[in-house]
Amino acid sequence: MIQLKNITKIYPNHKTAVAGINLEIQSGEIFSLIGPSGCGKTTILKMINRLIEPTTGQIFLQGQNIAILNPIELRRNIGYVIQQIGLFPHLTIEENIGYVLKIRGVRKENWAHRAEELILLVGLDKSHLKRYPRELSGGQQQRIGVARALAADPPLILMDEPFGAIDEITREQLQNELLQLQKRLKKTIVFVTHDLREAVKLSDQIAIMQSGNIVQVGTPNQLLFFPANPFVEEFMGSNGFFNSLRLLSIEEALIKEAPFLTRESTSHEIKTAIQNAQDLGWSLIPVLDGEKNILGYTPVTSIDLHQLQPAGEVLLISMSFEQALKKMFLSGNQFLPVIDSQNHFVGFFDFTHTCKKMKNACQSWQ
Amino acid sequence: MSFILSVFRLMVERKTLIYETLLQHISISLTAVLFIALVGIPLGILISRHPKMATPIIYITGVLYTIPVLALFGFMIPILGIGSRPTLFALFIYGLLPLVRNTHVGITGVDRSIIEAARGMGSTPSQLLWNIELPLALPVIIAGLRTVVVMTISVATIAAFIGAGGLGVLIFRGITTYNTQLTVAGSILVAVLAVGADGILGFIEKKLLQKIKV
Repeated sequence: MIQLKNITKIYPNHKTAVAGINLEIQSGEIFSLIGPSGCGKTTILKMINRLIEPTTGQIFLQGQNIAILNPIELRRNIGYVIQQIGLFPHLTIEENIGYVLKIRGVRKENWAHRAEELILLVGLDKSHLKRYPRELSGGQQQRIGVARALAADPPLILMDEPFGAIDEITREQLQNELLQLQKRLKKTIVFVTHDLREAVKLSDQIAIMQSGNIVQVGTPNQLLFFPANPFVEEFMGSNGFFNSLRLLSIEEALIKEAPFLTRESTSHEIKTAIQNAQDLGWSLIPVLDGEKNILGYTPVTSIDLHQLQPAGEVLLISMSFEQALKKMFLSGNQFLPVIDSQNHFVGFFDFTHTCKKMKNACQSWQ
Repeated sequence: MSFILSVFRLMVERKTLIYETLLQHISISLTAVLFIALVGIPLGILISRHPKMATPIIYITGVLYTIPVLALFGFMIPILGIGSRPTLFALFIYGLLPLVRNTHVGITGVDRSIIEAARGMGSTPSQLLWNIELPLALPVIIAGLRTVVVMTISVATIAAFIGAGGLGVLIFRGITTYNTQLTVAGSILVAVLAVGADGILGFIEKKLLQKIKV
């Protein structure tokens, strides 16, 4: 989708903002540029829509060198969301969202219709359309900022610390909404942030920058587990590993073929289950009903399908490693059943098994 | 009290003269303001586009602004003669600074992030100007225009001095003929005209701002 080749930017005051970087951004991914302030991440972003021209090097967008494109046309096909939001205070929300279409000469009824679609898409009520930006909260304003960037349905969206000025709770919400939107829209998003948690949460790929250079590019897990150098390691933070626990979903480490019994299990099934449980090192086997609800546990050494030990803690499939481990510590179990949002049993989260599985995963990340 | 009454009596008695000079005054001021707006606003826009020009242009209009009014009329006579031409020119030069400066300040004062968003979304320079910059700068530009109008109306009084007519005629004639009532009548009318024009512009400003809700 986007290739940056040997890009440098030296400002008139001889300050080098970007020092010869190469990057490739794949279509349909959220690609984050992250680093301390002044590392050149915003400069790179603004070079993609030519608000800043590189000193040397070329940028290719879908194979085309953007230097030879008309910058106005180029920008109209790229969504742009900035930290200060930058809604037009003298225009209604409807006019704000429709602005890109309006300046392209799209007729009012068409852009007004599009504004209506988009305000619903970003989770706001249609009644906001006739209001003015100052009547909205910061979080609502940035939702409009995102809707406005989507108006012309551009394949590429540039976001410059879009949630940086928003309170933490709303920011978390907006991040989740962005992920939901991205699942549906599959845009290519270049995302500038200085918030590591945000980058890890949202990104498919992250590029870590330091004084105009790219230090490492990789998936969030690659950067967390295998920082390329001390700078990345320090940047990911002393608790980088714990951050990763907070961000990894237990879905990745789920045992789906773990032993369980039902009230109707045959003696053969019981025998296999005992064997499997022993292989996993479990002293208890869970018992489910026909609806896949967990009824309780029975000891491996004396199977009794009617006198069950109480079910106790369960995990939700959407939980992070951190949440799951906390529940395991509190309940004292080495494995816990996992249910989905409909309360149906989907598998087990097992500590020993997870350790082995993570080791393999780490090898693949490396 | 009787003095004020005598002023009003005079206004009624000399109503033809008063009417004539009032119309002259309005027409001189209005024409001058029109020229000032036609040149001042575009000039303000121009220097907001080219920051290097801003300092010299504001400096030059500033120097012109500091020339005493009487002296300025004095300079004009050998060049443009007497009558309304030198008057208009003097008023024009005099009123340029507030409008150029306010237009410039209004446009450059628009929040940078709004400009960046508009540019990043692919606005052409003229779309940026007409859709974003001018509407947002409008309150400051109108404030400048109000200053210019009030100032022009009051400065235009001195136009009588070089034979352009206007309410200044009443004042000067009053002074030279020891007719204090006439001088006061002229002064009151100038003040009423200035305050009235300012009020009307203020009203228009309020309406406009309601519409664009800044």
